[in-house]
Amino acid sequence: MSLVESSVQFLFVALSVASVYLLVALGLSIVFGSLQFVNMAHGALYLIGAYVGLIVGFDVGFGGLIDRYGLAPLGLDLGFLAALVVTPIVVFVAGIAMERLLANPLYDRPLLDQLLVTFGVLLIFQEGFNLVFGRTGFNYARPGWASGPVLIPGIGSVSRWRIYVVLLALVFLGVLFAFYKYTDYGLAVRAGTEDTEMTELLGIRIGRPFLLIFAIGAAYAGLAGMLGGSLFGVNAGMGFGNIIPALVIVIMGGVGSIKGTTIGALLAGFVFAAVTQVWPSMATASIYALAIVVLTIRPSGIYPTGEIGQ
Amino acid sequence: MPLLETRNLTKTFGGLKALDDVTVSVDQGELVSLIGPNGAGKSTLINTITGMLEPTSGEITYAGTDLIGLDPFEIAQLGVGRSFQTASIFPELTVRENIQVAAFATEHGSFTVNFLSRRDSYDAVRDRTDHILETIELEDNAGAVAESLPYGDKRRLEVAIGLATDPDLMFMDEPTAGMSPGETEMTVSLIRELLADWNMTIFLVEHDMDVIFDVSDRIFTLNDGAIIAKGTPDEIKSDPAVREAYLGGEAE
Amino acid sequence: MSAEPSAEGDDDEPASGALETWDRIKHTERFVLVSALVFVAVFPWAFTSLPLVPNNLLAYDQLARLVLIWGIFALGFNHLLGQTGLLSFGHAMFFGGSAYATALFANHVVADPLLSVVVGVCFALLLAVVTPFVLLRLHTVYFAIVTLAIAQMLYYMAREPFEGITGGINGLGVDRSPLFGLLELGADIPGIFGALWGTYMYLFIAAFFVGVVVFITRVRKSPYGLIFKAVRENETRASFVGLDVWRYKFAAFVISGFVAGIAGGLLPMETYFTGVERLHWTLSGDVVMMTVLGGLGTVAGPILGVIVFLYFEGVVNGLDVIGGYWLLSLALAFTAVVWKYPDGLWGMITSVSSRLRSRRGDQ
Repeated sequence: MSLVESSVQFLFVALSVASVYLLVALGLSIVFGSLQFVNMAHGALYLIGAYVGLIVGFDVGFGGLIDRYGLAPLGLDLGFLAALVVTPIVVFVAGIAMERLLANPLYDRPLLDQLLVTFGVLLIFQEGFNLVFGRTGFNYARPGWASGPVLIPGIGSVSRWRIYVVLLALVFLGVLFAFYKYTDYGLAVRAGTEDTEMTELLGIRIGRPFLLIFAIGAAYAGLAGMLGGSLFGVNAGMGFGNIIPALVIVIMGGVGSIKGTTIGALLAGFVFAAVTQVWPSMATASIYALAIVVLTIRPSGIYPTGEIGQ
Repeated sequence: MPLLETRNLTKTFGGLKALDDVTVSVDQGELVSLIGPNGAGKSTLINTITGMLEPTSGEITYAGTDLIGLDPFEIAQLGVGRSFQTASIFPELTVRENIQVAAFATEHGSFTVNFLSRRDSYDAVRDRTDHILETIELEDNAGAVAESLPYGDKRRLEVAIGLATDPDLMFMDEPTAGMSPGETEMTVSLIRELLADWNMTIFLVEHDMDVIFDVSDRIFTLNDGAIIAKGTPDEIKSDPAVREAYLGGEAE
Repeated sequence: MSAEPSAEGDDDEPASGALETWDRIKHTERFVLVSALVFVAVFPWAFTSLPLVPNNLLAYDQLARLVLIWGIFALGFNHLLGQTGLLSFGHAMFFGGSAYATALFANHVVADPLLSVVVGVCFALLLAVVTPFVLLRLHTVYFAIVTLAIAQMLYYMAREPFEGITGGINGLGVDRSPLFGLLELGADIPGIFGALWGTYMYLFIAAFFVGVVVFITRVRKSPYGLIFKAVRENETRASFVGLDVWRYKFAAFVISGFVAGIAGGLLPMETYFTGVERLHWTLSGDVVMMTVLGGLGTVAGPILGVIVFLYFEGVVNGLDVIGGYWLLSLALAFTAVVWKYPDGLWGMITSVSSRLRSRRGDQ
């Protein structure tokens, strides 16, 4: 394998890992930054996305209660592409429900309470999914167009699916950025990040922009759940497995900043991919090490906004 | 030599000058007041002197000590106390405990290794606490949880915490804000008592002009971060710049 | 998060002199000591052989010992969150770190239980002294996440790079010799006391437990106890009365790590085993749940939380049909407590009893 080929492969491993984290971290970061709401239950949306994708796209031999009541195999079997389209929509709706039922009543509580309650909620989801769907892992069967290598002339072969994952993440990042920058709703959310007190006084906080941004963040997390599930497998523990690095990325990048969160995710992706090459067992640990170093140098993250937690 | 002195104190936030070349001095035993319209930089000045904010440039000396770069707790240990604009208390502790916290800091310094001795056994701390409770007339509520006090009492507790640090110089940030006329009168007589019996020097920020003109020895007027007038109450009353910037603008 | 009721609190109940006496003594250190002694004396019997309770609902001997060990851990954790208001999601570092240090000392130097635990505690103390230099500048969520990150780093390091000494994911068998070479802790206590307490190991652990309860109570009654609460309630105000908040937080962190380290050192002595899962963040999550569920900020609350948690994990888990729901029910209970009942199970008990009293006072 040429040096160029292995560097390009490395690049796409790094970018695809960063993409999955980024899609989860974006919603987490914006909600944390603008609403001062830290939501570990955001990981439940990632979890829901992965299972919704499975159920929409395939017919899955689940265990747990589904098997006990003779419902397995369960699923709509509409195929991978349909799952890719339907999942974010379903999780968008789940996001609206979460905002109304969970987040809204907790906005005025201290960060500590929010952290503990949403930790409990994610644990409920994890155990619930274990009981309903069984404790085994599941895998996405990717169709031909989303698997195998792509031959790039003059460079070599790169995993086709990883390219799609990166492209998808780029598109969604672009959409969010445009929403944030060029719409009135985006303006309200940005104002909320910079001066929560003022926004609260104006009564914007309870309004639709925040519900919408919460649900968009949820949809992204749902999509990430499907993408992450297709790359790393699906199980009920994946919500916690993803939300903790995502939180690390958010606070490392700077809470509420799209730029900071993107840079945090990229840093994490590259460090993860690099350490995987030389020391695979320490790949996940390297993200934590990175965060410890970054936050030791810059206690409020790379791009600090507002006064979160001060 | 003045007790507290600032020289050319400047503080900028981004491009905005919150304090612009502020030079003031306070003598031992004086009561000086700081007035100025909202947003003039009054709280910024107090926060900069007491160590909450780092000035962009300028000097602050207190009793010959340079205060620049010191932490708030170090400045408090030097004998500079403060009360806050909002009732900054320890809400879930009792009234007595609120004052005890400050009394410990005063009697035993910023940090002591005494985690194995009972706090009941510190007589000096108890005496100081009792004395403050008496002065501020909160002894009947000593066992109540601070959060449960009515607003005026919370403000008085906030001042009591400041007093318990036994300051030589006390910053009081709008001590009568939100108080009823009766409570305001009580606070004014407390201020007089502090000056007369406690030999305290007081730096007062107030909105109530009656209080200001009643108790102040000297008054500084701040506008847009800069001092526009200094003088006795009579001088300030008749100062045209003050009238324009402040008194004339809005009938308080 | 509630402060404990103040000792000075006057109750207007002239009718009941006994209750007044009760209010006076229930916060004294001697009362706490006596309660702790009575608790450790009676608890294993009540937990494992209470008459009239069906056998499958009773716990087993070892679970009683584990309750005391985890109780120590929860008291250490509570000292940080309940007293000082700092939420650590990485307390596994003290627990698992101390467990490894204890195990390695026992296996490679001397397998004396007391010495090994002391070595484990020293390692936990070392961690607790070093990590604040990174941690204590950080606020709430940042603090919680970075404590977790540090503990996870240790977890991954123990899992592979140091597999040779830690046994990696297979864990490590641990030696234990008789105490001071004289008393085999695994031996049954003779006579009636054996029926009450089982083996000498129970007494060994119980001694630490009572010691920790007494220590924690004394710290709470010292100036530190008050200042920790002041820092929790209003950090800015605390620094403006002249307190060096950083050092007090540091002290709280070290005390908490020290106590957690005792629990971590006792566990490998009890189970003859230690493993990387004792460094994992889920273990930190468990102690958060236990403490908050039982009742933050009190001494009895965290212990009650530990009893409930371990009872669900060790006994309810084994029951037919409902057994599989043990963790889900705990997660639901935990969430309900942090959302609506911040005083936890212990808070519910004390509020019921005070309601009963005020009703009696009305008559």
